Amino acid sequence: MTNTRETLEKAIQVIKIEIDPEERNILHDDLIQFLEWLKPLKALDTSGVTPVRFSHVAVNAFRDDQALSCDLKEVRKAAPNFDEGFYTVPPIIE
Amino acid sequence: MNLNEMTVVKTAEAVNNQEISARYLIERTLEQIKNNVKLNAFACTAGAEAFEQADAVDQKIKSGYSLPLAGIPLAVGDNIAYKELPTAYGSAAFRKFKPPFSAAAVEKLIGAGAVVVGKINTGDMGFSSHKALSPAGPVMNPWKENRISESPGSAALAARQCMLALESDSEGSLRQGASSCGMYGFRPTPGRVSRYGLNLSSGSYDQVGFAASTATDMGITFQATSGYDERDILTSVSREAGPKPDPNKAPGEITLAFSPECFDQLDSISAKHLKQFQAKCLDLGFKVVESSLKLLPEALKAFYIIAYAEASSSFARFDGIRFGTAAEADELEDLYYKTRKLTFGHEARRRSVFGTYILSKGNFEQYYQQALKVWTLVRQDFNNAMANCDFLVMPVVSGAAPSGIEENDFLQRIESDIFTAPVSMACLPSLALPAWQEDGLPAGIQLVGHPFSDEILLNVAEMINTETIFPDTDKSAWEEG
Amino acid sequence: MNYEVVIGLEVHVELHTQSKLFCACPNRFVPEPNVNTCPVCLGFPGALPRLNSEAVNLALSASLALNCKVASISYFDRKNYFYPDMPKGYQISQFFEPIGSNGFIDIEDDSGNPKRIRVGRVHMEEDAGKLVHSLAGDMSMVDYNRAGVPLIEIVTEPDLRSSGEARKYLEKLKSHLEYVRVSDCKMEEGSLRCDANISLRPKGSDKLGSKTELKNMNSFKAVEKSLEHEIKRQKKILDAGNLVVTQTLRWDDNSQQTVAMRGKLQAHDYRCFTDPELAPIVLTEEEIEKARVSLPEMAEARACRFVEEYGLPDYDAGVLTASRNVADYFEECLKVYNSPKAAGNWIMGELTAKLNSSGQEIEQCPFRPEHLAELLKMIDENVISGKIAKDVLEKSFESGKSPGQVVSDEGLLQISDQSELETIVDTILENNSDSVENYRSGKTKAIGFLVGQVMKETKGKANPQLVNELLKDKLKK
Ligand SMILES: [Zn+2]
Repeated sequence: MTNTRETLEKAIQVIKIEIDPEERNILHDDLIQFLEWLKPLKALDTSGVTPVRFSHVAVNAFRDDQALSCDLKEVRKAAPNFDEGFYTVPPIIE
Repeated sequence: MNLNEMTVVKTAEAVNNQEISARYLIERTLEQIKNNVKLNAFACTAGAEAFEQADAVDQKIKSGYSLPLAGIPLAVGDNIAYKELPTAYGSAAFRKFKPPFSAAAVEKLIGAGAVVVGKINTGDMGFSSHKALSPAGPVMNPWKENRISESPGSAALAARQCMLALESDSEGSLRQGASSCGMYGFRPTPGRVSRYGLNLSSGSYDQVGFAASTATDMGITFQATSGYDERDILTSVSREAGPKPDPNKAPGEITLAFSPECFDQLDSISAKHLKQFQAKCLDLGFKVVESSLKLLPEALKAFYIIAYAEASSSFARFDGIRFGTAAEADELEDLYYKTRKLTFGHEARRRSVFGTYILSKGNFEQYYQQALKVWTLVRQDFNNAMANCDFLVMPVVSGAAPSGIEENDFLQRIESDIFTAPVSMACLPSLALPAWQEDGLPAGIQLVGHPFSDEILLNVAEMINTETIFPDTDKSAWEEG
Repeated sequence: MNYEVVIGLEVHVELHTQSKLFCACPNRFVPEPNVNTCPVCLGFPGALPRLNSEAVNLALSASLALNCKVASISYFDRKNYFYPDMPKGYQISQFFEPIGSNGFIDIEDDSGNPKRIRVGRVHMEEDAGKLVHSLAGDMSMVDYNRAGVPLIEIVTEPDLRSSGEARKYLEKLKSHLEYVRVSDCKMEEGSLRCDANISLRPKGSDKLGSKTELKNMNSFKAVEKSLEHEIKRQKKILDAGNLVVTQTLRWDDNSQQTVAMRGKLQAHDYRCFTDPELAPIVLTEEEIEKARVSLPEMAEARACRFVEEYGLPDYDAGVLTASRNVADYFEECLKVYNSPKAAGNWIMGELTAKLNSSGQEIEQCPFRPEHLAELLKMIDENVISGKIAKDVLEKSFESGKSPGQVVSDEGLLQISDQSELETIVDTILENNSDSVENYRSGKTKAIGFLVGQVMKETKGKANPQLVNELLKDKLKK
């Protein structure tokens, strides 16, 4: 297996999405194309350039420390599995 | 009264003067949506709650109020929360999902008198319908068979299935779709309109924007929605509103810049039209100069690296635990894998996987970190280009509205964002406005302003004042009226 | 072989705020699950994080109190991993630029010599929810009340060399954080949590051995015990010529040993990048300086001052300044009562005992510093005896009444009336002729018994000094 394929397979595992073999092949081909397309960017000389860390001009966008309880009726309705006040998931062994 | 013209300004005036009722407008609109179902612009349409809203507007007007958007039929992007209707985020798993809150922009538009007539059929997880097939299929362009619209809201608007659409814009789908449907599409300066309620894929680039049929309509809409919203703390920059347009300013006092590199990137027909548009600007009395944009191709690549990385992280919250649909699963891992398979279509899967690839050990430095550095260079590039002008005039896309039917590779689709994605990256306000027609399909240009020059930008667009044309349709619910 | 122990501590401290880090949900314990939640801390699509300004202030104070350099610009980053207790699929933390770095805490090593423990970083982050496992084992349940609670993580360099040093560091850390009112630092309630990295290496070697990570230590005692246990365990492995396996261990309080953790990801590739939804925190030199100047006097400095200014013994000064609230109480009392030694004794003795038995905190107990001052003045002015004073404290503590009120309500005024006492003393002398005999024949200790009898007769209200004088006087005759 190539390095790219291996990292791709690992990425699929890390991001936890079931993807069938055929689509994995498509993704692999696309990824090869994409990385090829990115080559000029990788080659661009950026020595001494400071990376952007935030897109926006805002700084110190703060909220005052005031507590407010939320009406949870609608929020809880959105949950697929909610039981006696808890969100439930399949059993986990810690 | 000819409602086929359907500008927001005139219609709201008629409703405020009680010449027509909001209820009537909504009835006509819902009928018009039915008349052209094959456009596939709507994921779902409103029912009783829209009439309730319309009646409330009519009632308010009877009791003496005047509303800037009185009775205006509004279509809302399906990746923008609206609690009265299902908000599917462009996911098959969320078809019946009702979010517990509405987006700030939706609330503000409703507050100004608009009535939500439906949710627009967005692409997979809200990505541009050009790049990501919606679970409900592609949204067609009302101008031509077998052409799609990158912005479903613009398609609905051109087909007169709404008068105003609220959508998101990231790599430029709103501006592109507005352009290929002959409409106005506006991406405001980040921080001017609250993003609360927009399902963010890329926090860096996703914005709430609008499709409307005139610059004046856009101005009213922007006024009704912009400003500080405590639920989106980044709008704190809007506490000091941008500079107001000077009503006495003549075109001669405004400098528009065209970039030679943009011409280089265009096909010959589009380049010819852009040249003609440049001449028109001169005729209108604007000062026209040249400004160089050197890094458009690099900007596009950096944009996608960052957008993919952020998408992979932002959509991790779709795990089937707190909202939406959960797959049947005996084990936790199964719950993740299966639920996320149900939730995401191919494009969302691609972005999640590629984003993870980009951020993983070994790739982070050479791709992600490099993209952040290029971002700095892109900002400088735009700063330089805008140093000697008030606005940049840029193409929106090269060539005509894309066909969503034939298979074209994903890189080709990414490449079509070369004029729009870099503008998003530079954090500048941008308005797509109709500019020319070629082979029965409209195309627009982008007017790109300095940060926070939104009002002035919309004002200059009014000065340019291109006529909005609607496509001919077989049957219109509006003509009967 | 002789080994050197190398320990680094990662301490998570809950910030004392009204609301969570990125939403307005209350930051306080409630027994009911998922009550302190909202679309933001549940990670709903479209809900946006909004940074709590007080959390930033507290993180700044903590950084300064730990002698850190404060970043003039810092960001929030996403640490991406899946777990049901992590609503967004990522934890918002400060990965690349912590708000504080390069600080230190001074402690004493095991031989009592001063030692500096370097604090590598102080950063803000959000807490995760809590998993509960059903008894039937058919499902796990998630409670997001804690999800989004503001924390700071304080990470030392691997400078600690024994479990004792680790405990001393933690005590100092706790005192510092309490002093700047950043947190109440209650380990039992989870507002201070400690993880340790520990490895052994041959003495003299500067290469680090393979380390294990210890989690789930829920008291200072547990930290010390589990570290000792782990040191012994690693020593045994190394002595046998084997290698220590790098792993995460959990301290099990019941079996009093460390056990390997399962389940959660062990090796992490968190895929960190800056959160695009949260604006940077920018702090100017002036703002940082202003915060530095407004830091309170810390425990050590305060103890020195107590010795110098109030003439307290070192030990007393140490005890009284260990907690800022106790030291504040003490000085509040001294504002109206000028005998530091007596005030200190009463706080360290009677009051502390009462607080411990009632489970109350000094800052909340109804017996206020001015009450203590009033009580001590009454003793000095012979209004009540020291013994009665203890009862008065008890009653005042329970009822919230002032000591003066308690004394008058209960009729506890000291009997200092000479003629009244003389009558009582005469009766006692008459009824205890044996003791009188003994005294007169040289067994002067017998006077103690007689004093006791008088006190008994007066229910302790007799002025003891006066009783003594009267007895001596009468026995001479
Ligand atoms: Zn919350």
